[in-house]
Amino acid sequence: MKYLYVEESLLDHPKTRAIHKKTDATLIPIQRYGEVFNRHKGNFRLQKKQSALILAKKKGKLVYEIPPAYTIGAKHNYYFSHLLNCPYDCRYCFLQGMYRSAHYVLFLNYEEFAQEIGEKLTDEKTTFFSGYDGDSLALESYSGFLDYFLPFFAKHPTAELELRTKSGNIQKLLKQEVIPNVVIAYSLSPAPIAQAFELKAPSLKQRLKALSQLQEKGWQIGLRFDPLIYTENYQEHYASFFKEVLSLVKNPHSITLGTFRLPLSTFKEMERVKPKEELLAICTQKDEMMAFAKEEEMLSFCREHLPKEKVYVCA
Amino acid sequence: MTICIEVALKAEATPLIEAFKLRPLSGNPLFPIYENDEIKLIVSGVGKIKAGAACSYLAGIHRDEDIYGWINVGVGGHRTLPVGTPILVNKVFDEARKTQYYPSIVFEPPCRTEGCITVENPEHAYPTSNIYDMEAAGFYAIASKISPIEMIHIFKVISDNASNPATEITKKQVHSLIQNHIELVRIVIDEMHTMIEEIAPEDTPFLDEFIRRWHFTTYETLQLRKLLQRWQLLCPDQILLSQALLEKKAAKEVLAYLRSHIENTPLKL
Repeated sequence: MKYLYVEESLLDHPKTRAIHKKTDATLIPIQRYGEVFNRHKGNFRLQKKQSALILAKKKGKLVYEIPPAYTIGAKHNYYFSHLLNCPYDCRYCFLQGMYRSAHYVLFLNYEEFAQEIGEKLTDEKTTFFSGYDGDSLALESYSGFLDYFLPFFAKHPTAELELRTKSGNIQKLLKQEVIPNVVIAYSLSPAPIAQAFELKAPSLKQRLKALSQLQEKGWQIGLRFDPLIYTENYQEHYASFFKEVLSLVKNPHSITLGTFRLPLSTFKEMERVKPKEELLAICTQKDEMMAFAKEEEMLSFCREHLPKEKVYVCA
Repeated sequence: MTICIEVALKAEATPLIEAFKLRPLSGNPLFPIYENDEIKLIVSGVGKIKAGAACSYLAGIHRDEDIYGWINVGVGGHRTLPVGTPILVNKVFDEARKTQYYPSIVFEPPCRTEGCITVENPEHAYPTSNIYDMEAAGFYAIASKISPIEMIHIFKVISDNASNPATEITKKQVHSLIQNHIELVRIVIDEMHTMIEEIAPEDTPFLDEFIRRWHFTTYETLQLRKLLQRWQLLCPDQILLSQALLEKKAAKEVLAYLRSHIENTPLKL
């Protein structure tokens, strides 16, 4: 990491000092992160060549409600993003069309996130998703997210935390006591698809190794097969892949399934910055979404190979 | 796929004109302009207003060409850095307007990077540890309205410091300061050209052939262009003008045929 942009109010924050020491990046003070992140005329793909880290304080709403269709079992569902963007470079990643920036934004006001999460809690089970706008674990060495939020969720058993990841960065989880209301959800794809589409991410083998270790330790494991990618012989790839994963994770907490899809506006921005992306070229418009013409066929094929009682389809 | 260079002084321009073999633009342009097939250079004069005006002018007279990037090359002062130090700017502060800009350097910088303060009048006291110049803020404000911010850069060579006052600099010295670092300018421009390849749109083969064979409305032509680009991406080795396609009578049928073929093409691994 070459550049570290820091909001002036956070220049003396202990985490800023620790990160600066760790990265040895050129520190550039800024007033608000919007001066550097998601600027008009920014280009996600070009920034991805050398992403900078931005340390900021998130203002306004911090925790967002999620449509019921995206549940993994709970009645109430929310997401929060302490981190925007991700060090991996998955060709299908919607963040490429959502932001005009590939810089990582790390929000340091964890106490305020925790307070707002606390305000949403009831006696009923509520799931909080942490990895919508970035990988939950990949930048843990900078964020210290687990150090703060695992003890918080341990104290609130009706609140379920989903850590969504492709990362092998699990040392902290292996060292600490299992928290039953925390789900480690691995995004997985068949090896040839992962190799072709999930650039810079750990291989399927590495991810399976990590989730095996976590499972052995006693953590709840979620399986995320989303997005499914329409490739030649996809049936063969996915059938053998599901078999392999389910032989390893016999009792997953939940399985989510979804084909590649994007809102039209996100698709258009992604197409603008990735004019040569084949994945976008085969999509078709369905109302305000862009998706594969074979979406239904793929979902129905994949559902046949998975335990129905665990599967949640995201469409 | 042009990259534009903006300089304030003729003395800064001359080494660049020689290195990139630029020819003067004929006619009677408002600012002196030099160019080759890939680069255009404009000499703005001193000050951020002229720098911004020159960028606008250059973009305006070349509006039909693909201007992809901009670089401001010039000299500047610094309190302590030795004369001749090359710098790529990572932050620009417009002292008069109290606004700041952050050039997005997404490649390995070929030299150190520093902040730059653009002032209205020459700065001789160097009160901060930034570079001082008179154009960067005006240049950046306008260039960033035209091109992706990752394609806009500011390259300065230190010409004066607390021990070597700006009042003593000669044109000849300015010429050699820039000339000594032409290779660094070339590296930045090469990086920008590499980035252009990534963001430039896909070609549209056979577009003219289709337009000759069938009648497409303006809207349909846009759809056709996109579909032909997608075909080129997904199945460039397949016969496009197949017998089945040639049998189509109306443009709508042609578009439907292409769309159906493309959307049912699985991705190759």
